[in-house]
Amino acid sequence: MSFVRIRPIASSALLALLAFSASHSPGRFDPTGIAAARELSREAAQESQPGPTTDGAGSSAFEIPFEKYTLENGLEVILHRDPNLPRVAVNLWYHVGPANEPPGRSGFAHLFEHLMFEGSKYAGRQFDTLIEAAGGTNVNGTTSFDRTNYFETVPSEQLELVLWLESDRMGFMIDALTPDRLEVQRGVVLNERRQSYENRPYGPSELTMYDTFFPPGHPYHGNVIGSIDDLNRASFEDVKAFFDAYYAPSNATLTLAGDIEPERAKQMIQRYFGPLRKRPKPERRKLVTPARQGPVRLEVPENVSLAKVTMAWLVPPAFSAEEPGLELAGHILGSGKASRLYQDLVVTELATQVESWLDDNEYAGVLAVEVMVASGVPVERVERALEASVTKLASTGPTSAELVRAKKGIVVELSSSLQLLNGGSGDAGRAGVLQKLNHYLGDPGRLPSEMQRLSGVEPDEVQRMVQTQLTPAQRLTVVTLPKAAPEAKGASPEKKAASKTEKGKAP
Amino acid sequence: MSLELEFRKSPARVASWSLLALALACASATGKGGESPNAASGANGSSESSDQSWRQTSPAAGAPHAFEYPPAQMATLPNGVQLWLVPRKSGTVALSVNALAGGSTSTPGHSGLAALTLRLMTEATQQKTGLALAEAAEALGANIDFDTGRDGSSLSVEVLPSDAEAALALLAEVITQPRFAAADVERIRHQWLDSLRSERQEPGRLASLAGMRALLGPVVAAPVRGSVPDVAKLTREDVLKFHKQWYVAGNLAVLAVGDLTLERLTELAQKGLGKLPARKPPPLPALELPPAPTQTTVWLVDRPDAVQSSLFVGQAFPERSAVGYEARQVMNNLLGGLFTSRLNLNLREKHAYTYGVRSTAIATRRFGAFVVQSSIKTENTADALEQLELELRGLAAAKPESITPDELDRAKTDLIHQLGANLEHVRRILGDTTELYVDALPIDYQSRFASRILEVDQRMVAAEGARLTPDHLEVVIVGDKQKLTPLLAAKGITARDAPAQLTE
Repeated sequence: MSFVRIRPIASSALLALLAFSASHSPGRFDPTGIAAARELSREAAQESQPGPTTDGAGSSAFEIPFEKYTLENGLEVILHRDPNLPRVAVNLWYHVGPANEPPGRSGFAHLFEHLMFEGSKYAGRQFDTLIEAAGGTNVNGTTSFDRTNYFETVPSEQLELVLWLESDRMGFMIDALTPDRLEVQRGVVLNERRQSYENRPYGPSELTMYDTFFPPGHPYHGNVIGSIDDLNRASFEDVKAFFDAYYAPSNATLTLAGDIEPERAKQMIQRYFGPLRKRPKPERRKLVTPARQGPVRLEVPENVSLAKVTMAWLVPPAFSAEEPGLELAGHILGSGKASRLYQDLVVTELATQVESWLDDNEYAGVLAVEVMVASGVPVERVERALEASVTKLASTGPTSAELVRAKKGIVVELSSSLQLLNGGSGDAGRAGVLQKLNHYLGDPGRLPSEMQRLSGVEPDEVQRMVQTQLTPAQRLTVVTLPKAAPEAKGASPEKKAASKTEKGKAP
Repeated sequence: MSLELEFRKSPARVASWSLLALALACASATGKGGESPNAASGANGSSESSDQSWRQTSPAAGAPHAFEYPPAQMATLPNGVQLWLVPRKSGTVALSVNALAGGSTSTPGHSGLAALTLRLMTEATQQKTGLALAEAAEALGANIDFDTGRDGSSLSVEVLPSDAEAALALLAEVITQPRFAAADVERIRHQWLDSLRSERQEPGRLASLAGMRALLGPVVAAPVRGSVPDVAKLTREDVLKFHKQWYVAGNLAVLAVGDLTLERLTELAQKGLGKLPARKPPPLPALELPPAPTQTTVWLVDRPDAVQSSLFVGQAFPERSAVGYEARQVMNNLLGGLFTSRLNLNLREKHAYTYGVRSTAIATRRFGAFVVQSSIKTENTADALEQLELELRGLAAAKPESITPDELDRAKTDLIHQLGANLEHVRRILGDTTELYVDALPIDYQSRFASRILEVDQRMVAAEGARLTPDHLEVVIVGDKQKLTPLLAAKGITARDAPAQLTE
């Protein structure tokens, strides 16, 4: 039930707005490139802002009032009204992702997502121009392992425009698609793959990690982005078949959050989505990801200056009974400067940065800690220290103060996230959280009970999770090693640097 | 997935939204008149059988809702510390303490000092060890975020409303009584150096670090986090001196967004920061900008086997306070800020050279820059440069009437509503408020932003576009030199190896 991503410690986006260096720098400085979210989006995301609660009230209850109903053709609708700002978020989830890709078509769900912006029969090819002209913000489509979503936030008087556009592509995208547009988006997606993985430090390591956890035959194999070969194989016929099978109203959920008049909104939804033909709801695949057999350690050479150790464990799926304890264990291990790993590895100068994250999905979760190895420190030493920290947490459990802090951190992040009508990759903010709960639990109203589960976790439960889930058997260690470190490695960077101090003027 | 943060929508985006009601409604009704320019329909067995042709008519927008960006409130403590507040009912409170002590304070050989000092302030205080300070913040569910920009530095937290007092007390302690223990300084400086080297392995980041220095010189455009050789020489004494000179009452502001009153904020700030002596900071070092290049210069940073080239294309541009800021943002937005900008439609949507291209009209207190960035498939690098230059040339020579009403409308509407969307979140409002303080803007700037944007017309955009100098650009390419050399040569582009001063 990870609604909020564990944030890296040195994060702040504030002054990124102010000055050029910062505006070019990642607003949130993250030299590791660790910031991990498994989603891909059609457009590189704008910086997502942390965000929470419905106008102040009851932040502890985390109640998001909503109404849910289903159209005759099977489309689920969730409405959340908040008239405080004259804006409304529209967030449409299709319950399809790489989990549904046919063999040999890794990356297809995401390529398809790009095609959804290429136009539809009646609205034509003007989705982006119309949304921009309407004052749309946070406009994107994203794909993660289990679902694909499309979202935009608009001034409330523009709601009908969005419903028109979204319903047109739900019903009639395939009628407008042409082979040349498929080719262009294939090229864009291949460039996304290059930019996000092949040419990004630690990107190849990430692909390796996921492909090892999810071997050929597993629906998550190939990661969301897919393999180059598979992307090149995707055909126009594949697009048609995928649209027919999965882009049915019965396989989608539409959420509106914001300044709506519910009765008027329902009328508009009926007008635009109601006439779409009823099509069968695809079955979800039944699958249990097999447990791993013993620890695996891989080395991936890359063009980086610092080695990185990622220790990850295959853990139970999203919203499992184990998840609250696991999420807290992740926090206690690697989130914040008071965390175990920061104290054991960074303060001791073995590492420069640590982070932990939990990627929870339908068929399995991954909990990982990532450690940037300080220059000059042998990787093996860091690995041993990292293992020792985990072992210690397993043998003694967290202190109650640690647990209180971890819970408080999650409460604040959620309170922050819920300020947004829609946030993150369309799975945070109010619309996103309602969608996520609905997708995995079938009930958008589960936030208070899920938060109750979290707040009820005792120290021994966290300890038990570390003992039973973060085991060597479930562990995969991926070590990124500098291929050839021209100047970064080695003894005295100071001296080398000093010789350049009288440098001439830049051209 | 936010992989290449340069592609965030324009970070310099200042947008407000407010009284624009009518203009926007009209704006969005234009440009879509129901035509369905789609030729491919019906070919493949339309998905629906019943007549759906009514869908061809796009719905008209409803009546616009008037809206106001709430103005900030301001007060000053007796010692000169400024207080800025935007009251807001919200689930959290965002708080920051800002100092006008950013990268622009740096003197030759001391780049990175402002940012490193700020980082060290968050490490430990005279009363609290590093661990105790971290535990105190995390007990509030917070981390103390630190950020240094060109003109300012900021420490910030976001906490539950009931923790606002404790959070502000903690920030005040960090500002006024940092520990700066010798061992901490050395450890963190070493980690900082490691992270600088690591940062330079990220090709897009390296391109912009190099590009800004090529454009504005090694001192003015020194990386805010420092160059590797400079940071290697910084000492604890430098840090102590910097803190003493710049973190003085006359150079500080407390910013807050949340369920607070100005009286309450004043009381809390007085308790934490009221004892600071009323002093002013030293003057900033003189600003020396290099002359514009006589011709376009292309610098190449070799990254063997790179499958993409990370591109930086830039030129000097006006500073924040120069007349025409809003028109420049509109111009930038339609050229390279929007998804449907001229550059993105060309390089991504037409040619698929890239996952995305963005331009930014950067404007700091003392200078500015216009910058285009993208990651291009290696084989298409020269083609992409050619197209990019074509778009710059087109706007530089544009007659006002060649700016289409539709693109102008999208660019303006977007700026206005991006600011409106900031009202969803206390941290975003805090970001806007920080701009008021750091950029020395009028206190009602955001409230009036929309009307300023609405005044921008084709003529003003063309005038700002005419500032583009497509024959005098600084270009940096981080990519595979061996593959790029013949590709560039074929287009008559001569690239020089970037010297270490640009990349260190």
